[in-house]
Amino acid sequence: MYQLPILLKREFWEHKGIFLYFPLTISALVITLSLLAALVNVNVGGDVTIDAGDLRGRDIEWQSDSRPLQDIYLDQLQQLSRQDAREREEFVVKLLTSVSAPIRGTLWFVIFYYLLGSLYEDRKDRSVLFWKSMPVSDAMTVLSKLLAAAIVAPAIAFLFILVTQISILVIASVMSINADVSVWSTLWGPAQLYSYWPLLLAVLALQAFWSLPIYGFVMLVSCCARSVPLIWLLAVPAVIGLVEAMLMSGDRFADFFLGHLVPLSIGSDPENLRGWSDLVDISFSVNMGLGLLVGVALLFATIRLRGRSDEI
Amino acid sequence: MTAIVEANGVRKSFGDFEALRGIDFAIESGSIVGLIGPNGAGKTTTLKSMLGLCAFEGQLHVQGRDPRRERHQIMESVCFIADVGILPRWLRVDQAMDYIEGVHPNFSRSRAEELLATTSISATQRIQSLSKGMVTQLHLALVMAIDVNLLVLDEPTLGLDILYRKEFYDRLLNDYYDGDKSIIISTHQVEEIEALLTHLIFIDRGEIILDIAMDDIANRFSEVLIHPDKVEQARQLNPIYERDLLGRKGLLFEDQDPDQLAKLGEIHVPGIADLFVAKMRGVRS
Repeated sequence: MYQLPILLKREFWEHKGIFLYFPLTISALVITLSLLAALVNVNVGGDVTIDAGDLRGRDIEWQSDSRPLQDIYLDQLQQLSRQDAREREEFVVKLLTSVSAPIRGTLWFVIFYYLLGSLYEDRKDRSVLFWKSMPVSDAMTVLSKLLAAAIVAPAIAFLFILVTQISILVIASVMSINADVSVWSTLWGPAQLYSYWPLLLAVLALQAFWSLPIYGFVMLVSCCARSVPLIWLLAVPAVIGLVEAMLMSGDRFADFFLGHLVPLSIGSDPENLRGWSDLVDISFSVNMGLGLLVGVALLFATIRLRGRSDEI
Repeated sequence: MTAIVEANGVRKSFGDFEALRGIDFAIESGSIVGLIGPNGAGKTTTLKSMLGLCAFEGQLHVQGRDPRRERHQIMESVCFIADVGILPRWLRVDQAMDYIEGVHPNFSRSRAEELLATTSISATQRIQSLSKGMVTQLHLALVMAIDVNLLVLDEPTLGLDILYRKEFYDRLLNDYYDGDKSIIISTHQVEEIEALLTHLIFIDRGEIILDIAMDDIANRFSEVLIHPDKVEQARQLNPIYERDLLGRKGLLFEDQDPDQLAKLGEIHVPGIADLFVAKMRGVRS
């Protein structure tokens, strides 16, 4: 176990681009766009009519019943401040969730992309011979790659989500001051960051367990594929699902697979997690238990096959 | 002398192709063994089997451990350098040292830095920016800083120019080998390692065709330089190989009475290259 920190570091070194720079870029992008929207005085909405005026003259006039974006925001903030506490909370949580969505969404792709290459790329470039010439067991290797995907990548993404959400709240606060709206009771209060962030962190942690069968499957594919692992990743579940549908006219596999594939999310919609009680429910569900069993079995298979896998 | 590697009936096939057809050998500690064979003879497969880097059948133990199940324990006391290009290209030199320091109990970072200081490789370079020769230099420096019992080298100097090759073997012999460690080197460039070896294993088509200590070569094999007049007479003694020299013939004999051979001409110990060609021809004809 003393090797684990350096093994995780090694994964981070190799995948700094997708683990660090990618969420950093997206966070920067979301913040920049929000800033632009807040600062640049563009007019949106409404119909634009052009009054050509005197055709010989040069004074062409643009007329529009559109309004500056800033005004719209200010109106919205003022409206929000007049709503009741529950509505304000709902709105702010929605805002926070939506600005974090690009990072969470890409995290999902990052994890898949990473895991799919994790036990494949080193066989392709023959560096597997170097890694295997070190006194690191196959179990440690597989574990370190799983943890990099299930913990390191989400932890970094979580930090960028915090940065993005704070930045958005700060930008909105400045606008609230302009709109003469109470910053605390309209934004920071309803945001309930002291409970929202722990909940988000818990969801990300729960995701690691919830997605274990999927992670296990992707790693197994990465370990076994001799070429184009993506094809196997798509074809195997598709074939199993089809066979089940045709022979047993069932969809249990598809339900299981898709259920564990889609990321968990927080929000007020029914399919989202709304609070801690939902988290507890899902933690102790049959589906979670079954997923963990399947996940652990796939990981064991991966460790065994990694022992035999050769450069390709 | 105790055996550090013991192989009995090791087999490996890739589909229909039999890469190893049940080979037996032992490597004693303190020896430098040359594993010599033509391309595709099974050298790499033998070495990779020893290190648990590929599956095989039969019995094979490295320091009493089975490489199929105990690769990572074996790797605490064994190092491996393959033909160029197995160091990951994205890795930086200092990261490589950090990594080995973090996973290997017997790695000395100061020793590695000392060895690297004698090369033109800098710590912040990525491996992809190094030339082929420099990658091998780096790998050797890293490996030499690990205190192990057995060093396995698979065609370590393949594709390097003569300067790098010479430096590689000089370093190995002068700065690394201390009489307790064992080294096994596979190559098909025989002459280069001739002076280094204490033992010789010839392998061809998945079979071992000669396994001998260098000191025993003189007892078993003799090359006689013979005047053309006496060639017919010499051929009666079943030479295993004949070659033409300036005005004379060199005939190679195995297990022949030296007194009898002395009557035919000048006797000397054959070089590995001639021995190799002789044994290969014997097997293939």
